[in-house]
Amino acid sequence: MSVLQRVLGFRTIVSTSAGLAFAAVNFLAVLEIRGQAPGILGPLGIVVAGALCLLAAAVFSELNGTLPSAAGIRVWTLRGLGDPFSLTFTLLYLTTILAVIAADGFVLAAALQTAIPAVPGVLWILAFLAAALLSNLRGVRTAGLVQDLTTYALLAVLIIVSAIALGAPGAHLPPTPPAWTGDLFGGVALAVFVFTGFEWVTPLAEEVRDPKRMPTGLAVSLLLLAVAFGLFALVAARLPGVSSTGLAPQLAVGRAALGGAGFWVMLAVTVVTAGTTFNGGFAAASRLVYALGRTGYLPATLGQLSARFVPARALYLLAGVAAALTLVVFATGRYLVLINAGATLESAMYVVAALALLGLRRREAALPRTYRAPGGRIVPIATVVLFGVLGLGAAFTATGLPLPSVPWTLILLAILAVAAYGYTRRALRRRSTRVRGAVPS
Amino acid sequence: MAAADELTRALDGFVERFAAEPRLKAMTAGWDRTIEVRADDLPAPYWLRIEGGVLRRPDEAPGKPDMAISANSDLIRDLFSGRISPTEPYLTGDLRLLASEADVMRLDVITLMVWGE
Repeated sequence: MSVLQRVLGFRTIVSTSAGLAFAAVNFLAVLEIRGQAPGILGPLGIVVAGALCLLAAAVFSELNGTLPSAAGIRVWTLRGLGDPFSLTFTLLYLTTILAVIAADGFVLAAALQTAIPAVPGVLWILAFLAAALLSNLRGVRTAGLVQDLTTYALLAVLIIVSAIALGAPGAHLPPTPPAWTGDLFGGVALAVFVFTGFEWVTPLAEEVRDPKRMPTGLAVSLLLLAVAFGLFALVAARLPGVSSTGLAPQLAVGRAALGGAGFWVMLAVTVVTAGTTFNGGFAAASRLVYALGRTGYLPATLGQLSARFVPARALYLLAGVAAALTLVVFATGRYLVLINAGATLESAMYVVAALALLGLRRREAALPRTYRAPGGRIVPIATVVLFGVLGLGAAFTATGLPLPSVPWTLILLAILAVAAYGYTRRALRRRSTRVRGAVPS
Repeated sequence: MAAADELTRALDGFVERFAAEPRLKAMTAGWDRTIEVRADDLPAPYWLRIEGGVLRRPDEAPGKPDMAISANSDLIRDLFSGRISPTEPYLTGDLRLLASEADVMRLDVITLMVWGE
């Protein structure tokens, strides 16, 4: 294994993983978790979900230790499960990134509109998305140290503000309902969303100094996220008025902890968090779209680079779709479906990764592995079963849409999956025709 | 399995075509990189060095690599002789690149400009 001149250290693995998962929409997700799992069950659900995500961390670490690639999930599912499934799931994975961007845009706009009512939220959404697009088009990269400091500062502020808010006057923990197991399950299923993206650091493993430290880095990242958002959920459970700031519970928690200063501190946290989500989301998704365009799975125009060596057309497309999605959510206020869909897709992602791992172990047993998940097949099979059940739980969670008995999240995801599979079939047929056509008769 | 001299010829051919494309000199000005090319089934690695817009193939390692390319020898020969594009084997995991994302994309453009679409 070569040692590159510029490599990422352990500190950056942890900060990148935690930073990718630290989204502004997590604050709203905590509110939804509180609705599903009242009292201590909410924070407990977050801690349990974080612990279960350790299984997924082991799966991703082995996949990464077997086939380290920036193309991550595409390579693993292709080698482990075949092309049609891989491409279908890669397209759904792109949808998850766009859903997180849209949800964060919604939270950002709601928070800024609460703080500065004179400026319409729509303007904030467009301004921040445009800034993220411009930054990506110019190929601006945040220096590793700045990225590390930003993430650790965000985590530290959230932990400190939440810890102080625990002692706010009037705070009390509602009693745990008698039949609490169902509530806890609902809380855990949604809490998976809080950790969405922690595994997105694995494609960077090619730049990591010691790939064997990836599993530990992911575990530390999960621990930090569980502590930060578990504490925040505990405050949200104890403060009855946390919803008084509408769709910006983090601002209420900041005010409860430190008064007016806390309000503005948490607003700054929201702005920085959403900014990094937009930037990181566009960067990750545009590279994937570029690669699929270059290989003919998506239109070739998306596989072109600008003079600054960035996939400009992919970025324009993603920014357009993200803006449209964010504006629809902002106009309708129906954000729950995005959180539920995100939690379902994240669980599905872990299931697919575990299936790909089992497939790779069977199909390519001889490949050298720098890391192997402990316990033989126990970890991948437990990942499939547990996250399969949790994913279904999230898909059936109420969305606030009309006809509450209809599982809207499941229907939405089924439509997306069918559309992605239909596109995949056409794309594979087109590619196979092209390859046959290239062979001289 | 490709022989070592086949790889040498493929890499030298790549270096020549690089030199013959004036746009590449402008494009890589200021992008000084050492690239290690390693065939899994051959003992010694190969080296490429881009400096001041000029690509050369030193026999010895010119320092720690900024990028490392590895695959089996057949794939590396086909890649540097323009028979295949790097993106497809990269997405299947047959071609492994250790580098920053920005460097990977620039290398992709270089191969496109050397060999065309």
